[in-house]
Amino acid sequence: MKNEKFFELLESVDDKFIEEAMIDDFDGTRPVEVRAEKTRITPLKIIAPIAACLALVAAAGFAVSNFDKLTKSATPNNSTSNGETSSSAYMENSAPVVVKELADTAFVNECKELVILQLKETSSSYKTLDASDISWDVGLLDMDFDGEDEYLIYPTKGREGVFVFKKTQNEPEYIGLFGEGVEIDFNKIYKAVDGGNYYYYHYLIQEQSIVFGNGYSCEGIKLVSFEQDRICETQGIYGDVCSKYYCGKHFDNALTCYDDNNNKISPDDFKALWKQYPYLPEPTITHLGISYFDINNAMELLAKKYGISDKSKLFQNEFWRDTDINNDNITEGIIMFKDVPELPDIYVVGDNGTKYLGSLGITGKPFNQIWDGSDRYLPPAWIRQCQDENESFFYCTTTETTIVDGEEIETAWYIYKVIVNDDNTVSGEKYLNFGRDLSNGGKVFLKLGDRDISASEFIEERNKFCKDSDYKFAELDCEMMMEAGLNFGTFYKDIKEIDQELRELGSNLRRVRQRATLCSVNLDDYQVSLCAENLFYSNIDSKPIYCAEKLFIALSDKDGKVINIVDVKPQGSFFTENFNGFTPIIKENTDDMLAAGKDNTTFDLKFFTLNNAEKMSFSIENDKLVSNS
Amino acid sequence: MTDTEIIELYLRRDERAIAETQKLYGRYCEKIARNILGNEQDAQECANDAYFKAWDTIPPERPKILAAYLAKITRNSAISRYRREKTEKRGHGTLPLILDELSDVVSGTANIEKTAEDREIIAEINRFLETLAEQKRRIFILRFVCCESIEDIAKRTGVSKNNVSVTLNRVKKQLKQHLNKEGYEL
Repeated sequence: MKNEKFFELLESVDDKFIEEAMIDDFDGTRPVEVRAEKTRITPLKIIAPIAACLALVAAAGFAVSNFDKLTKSATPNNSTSNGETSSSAYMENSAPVVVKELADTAFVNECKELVILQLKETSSSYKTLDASDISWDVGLLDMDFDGEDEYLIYPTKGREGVFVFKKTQNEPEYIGLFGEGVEIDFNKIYKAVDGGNYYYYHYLIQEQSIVFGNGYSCEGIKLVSFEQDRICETQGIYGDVCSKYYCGKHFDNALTCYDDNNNKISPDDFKALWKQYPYLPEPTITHLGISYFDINNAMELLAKKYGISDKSKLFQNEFWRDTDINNDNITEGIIMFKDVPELPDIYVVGDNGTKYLGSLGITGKPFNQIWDGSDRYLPPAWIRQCQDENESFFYCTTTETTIVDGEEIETAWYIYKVIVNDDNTVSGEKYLNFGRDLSNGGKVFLKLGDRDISASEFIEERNKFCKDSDYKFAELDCEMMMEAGLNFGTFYKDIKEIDQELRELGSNLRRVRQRATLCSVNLDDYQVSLCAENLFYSNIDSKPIYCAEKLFIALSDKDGKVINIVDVKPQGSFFTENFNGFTPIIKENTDDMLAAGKDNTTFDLKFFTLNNAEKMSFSIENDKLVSNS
Repeated sequence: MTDTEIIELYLRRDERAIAETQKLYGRYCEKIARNILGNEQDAQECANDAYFKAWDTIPPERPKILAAYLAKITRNSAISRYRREKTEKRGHGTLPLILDELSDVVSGTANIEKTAEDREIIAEINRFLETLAEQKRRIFILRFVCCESIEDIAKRTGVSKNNVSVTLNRVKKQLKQHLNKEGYEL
């Protein structure tokens, strides 16, 4: 590409310009201004942001709880003092005023220039817009919650989106484009401001809302809408994060509604609240918790097929449903169950739930949310349509998580292949599965279908899958396979495989495993494992070098339960001692780093550095590891 | 330790060169890589790659400005990685945007490779950059060489994001005009 070529050329600009530009960074003792943390978010790490997001979105639920206040706030002269805690506060006189003359021409021209610049940054359909598609003569002028900043909001001419600018010293700053696809009537906008930690604006537009603000982890814009049975973020980064206000039929098929304290309220109360929302449409079957296919039909069908007399059990254990419309315009639905031993877990039904199309035949595996490797959770089963011309199959992926020492960790990863037959029936098959079998001492398993496969076969299949699956989400699966594999550690048993893979990647030093068991030895009543956290690999002078951020020895009892852990810090190092704080281990094969002593209660640990080997001796006393070095 | 001392370590094949480089320029290199890749860990790996690349290339290279030399290595490494992983869903950094923005400068139909020797164009770009006010030049370099986000540039230079955007837009136009005037149709 020409742009890329030109971009590369710019690398050759005079060094002095680079030095001048980054002068702030050249003093290593001074911190570099770093933008918002972009650390790869692990599922566990994401919990806090989700909590924050939940707070934000739950606060969006004020739309229901504060109906009256909202209604009142729509009337400029009816300025009820909120009297609420800061987290749910909203402004008095909060109905914004539509103004014709928002700013002087120069200001608007600057806005236009910004829009032209910034539209390129959006990946939405608005990318094709230009400044002439915006109604510059109609807009909103508004203040933020403390009245310090003014915001200018201009609609697109189609009224399906708004451009928001912050006005600072009569200079516009582009904030964003929000509400794509939302029909906006500027006469029907309400505003509320949360004064808590996550303050934001909330514009309620018919049945949808635009929220923007600067809450931690939720910086930016969330478009929330009433969708199916809940108030959901539809463009939020956390997928199916919903407010506490919802009605649903996920349990016993009775319509159940909840208020902001998660107390059950009657559907009539919910509807009554709903009606106070003047611009919401009448609650429909969709709003009140019926999915696109009739779940009653589907449950009836499945109960009959599997001889389950108590249908409520199915409703109680339904875990996820989703729908799709196939090429023949037939609505297919997928239903997942958990903890119903007599049932396979995933079903596909068609014809509004009256036709059984097949199941994936997987039993006994609980399904949980999956993390897609970026910054959001996906629904537990993410149906990924193949871009095969015939659309003859798709993949369905999920992970299994387990609470270990109070932490939720992913222990297995499943990919199912769902084949859509010519007669529109479906059949499923296990595809790649891998993880740790916690019922078997945490032993790593790698399977292709039901067959145990070797690490090299697994990698081969994974590469094939990643290469052949040329569709949007394949990369995520591939990445997850890598990630999960690394987390599970030992499936890369042959270190030479890592070496080969890294060479293919052209990498010199990279993290190869988040956690890994380097080797284990069995003693009479114990198993001892040498483990590494954040294991990095390099290759210097043809010698593989592994550096671990942390090395520890885990002592397990006969049942495989870890009963004691000690950190180990070998002396000596290739790099200086403080090279990223890593501990070097230099060895082509780590399998013999641990050696059991003759009496089977002691063992030695050998470390290898570039120039020497080092030995540490341990014994086990009263279920504890004791260093004898 | 000064740049000269660090380079001396490289020349003597003293492994402390890597540690000292990391100590002094670690965050700086990671930042450049992160700007391109948008991913913390990839950025760290890229920075590590850069140290080893420096180890491999010094000597025979003997950079006059070590920081700039590292910046270029890191940038190059990050771009390679970006290309390799650009179909990856997770994090793309700012590179796609920057490439898109550069279309303003290279919007013609002619092939850049055919119109001039690369080094002549670079020399012309350097001459153009000399003519700019320091602030504008910094903003341009930070965006298109160091791949920083508009927001980061605004923070670093103490001007508004809007100001940065407008400045970049104007400098790009000027650069295009300058190159066209000198006979380079990009």
